[in-house]
Amino acid sequence: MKTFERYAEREYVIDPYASVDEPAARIRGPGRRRALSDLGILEISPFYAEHVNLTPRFTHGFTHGDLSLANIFISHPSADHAEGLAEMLQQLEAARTNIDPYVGIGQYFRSLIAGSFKEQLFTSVEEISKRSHPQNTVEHKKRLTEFLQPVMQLEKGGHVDAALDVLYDRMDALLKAKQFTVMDALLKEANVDSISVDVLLGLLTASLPARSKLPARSSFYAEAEASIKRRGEWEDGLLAGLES
Amino acid sequence: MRLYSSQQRPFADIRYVAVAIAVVREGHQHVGILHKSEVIDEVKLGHLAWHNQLKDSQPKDCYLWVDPPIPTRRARHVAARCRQILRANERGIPYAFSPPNDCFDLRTGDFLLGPSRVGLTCASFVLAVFDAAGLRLAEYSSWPQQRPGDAEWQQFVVEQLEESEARAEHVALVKKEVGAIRYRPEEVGGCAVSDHLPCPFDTAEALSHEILDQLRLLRKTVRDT
Repeated sequence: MKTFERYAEREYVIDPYASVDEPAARIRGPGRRRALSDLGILEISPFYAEHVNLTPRFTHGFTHGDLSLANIFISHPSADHAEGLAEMLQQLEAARTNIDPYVGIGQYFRSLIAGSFKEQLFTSVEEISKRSHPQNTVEHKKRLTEFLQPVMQLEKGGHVDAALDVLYDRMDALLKAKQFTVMDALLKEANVDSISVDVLLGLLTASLPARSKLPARSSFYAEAEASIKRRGEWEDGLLAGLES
Repeated sequence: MRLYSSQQRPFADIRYVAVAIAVVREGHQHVGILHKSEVIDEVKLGHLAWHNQLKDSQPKDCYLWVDPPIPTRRARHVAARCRQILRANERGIPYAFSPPNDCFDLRTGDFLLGPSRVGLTCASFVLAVFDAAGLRLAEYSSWPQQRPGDAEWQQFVVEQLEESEARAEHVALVKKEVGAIRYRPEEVGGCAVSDHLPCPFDTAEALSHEILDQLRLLRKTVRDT
């Protein structure tokens, strides 16, 4: 089999296609390669480091308990260091799980959860959508708030990118299931003033491919624009290309 | 010009997203999307390497990167959209010459694989990701059809697909797309360098020459070192 990659690999040293094989000794955070040789570099994102507090016996001499350093060099595989590494990885894993609800369970379960969530959401929102009595509005809004709740929670914790990942996955699940009514109801009922600019942008971006099927989207866009301007967070080009 | 090598400005300097371009062999360029998030805290290169080979790898120093003319807040969403497309297409994206706009099929609910979309190239993948985020890098209607060299290159791709593990049905569909508009990697880079989006062909083409010059210099530097 010939591919561009193979051509590139064969003919040139410079090969931007080839994946980078990390040295076995290099550990790039939890959930990935964990082999430890006698000279290893453990890279910890400062983002996670704040969630990790190692017991002093593991930190003495190289970090003094402060894991805000991006790189920690492990000079030899002594038992203490190995145990310390295990503890560190365990805590990092926990930190990541708190930050990214999917990370500990993997992509497969991410889709399963999305599916399960989707079924529940579709059932409840569609049932409510069928009813027109005003008394259901509160319940409707409550259900729709549930859609955004994990997104808002992550964002409140300062984890905007993780929040956007969850938001895009959830919206994508609705699109793939062709649940345009549900998505339209979400845009219709959303209280734009209570939603951050980043999440508003996410809702507009993620719903863009289905804009022709979402009658409520143009009003949502207009409300979002007005709300962002009221907050003083408007800038040129912020919503360019997101119109219905 | 917002065009940098990793020596001039490290990849970590990107504002969430950037367009990255490299020479893979004489006359053959490759383009992808640099993206970063606080979750992983590293810059990755999302790119369509070949048929069903959608990769998210570490960028190498042979890449130049371009900071696109978009608000930082939107750049964050292009990066998020890129990650979502990478997650949702773990089995890859087919290689073909379909247009990069409206890749989401409302009838099937799939990204790209609708009745009117067969697959993308590395260049149209970059355009498609930005397009899916509501930001059109190129003014598609201004791109000329069947320029000299396009059909030859497309035929070359068909031959490579025939020799690969691509299904015969897919190859047959790609053959039908020979003659389609070709977006070249350096032109996608040119779009990202331009000051206004969507970038018309004439501007992108003019800027692409400068990108190619810079790539030649970079390639020589990387080889010399």
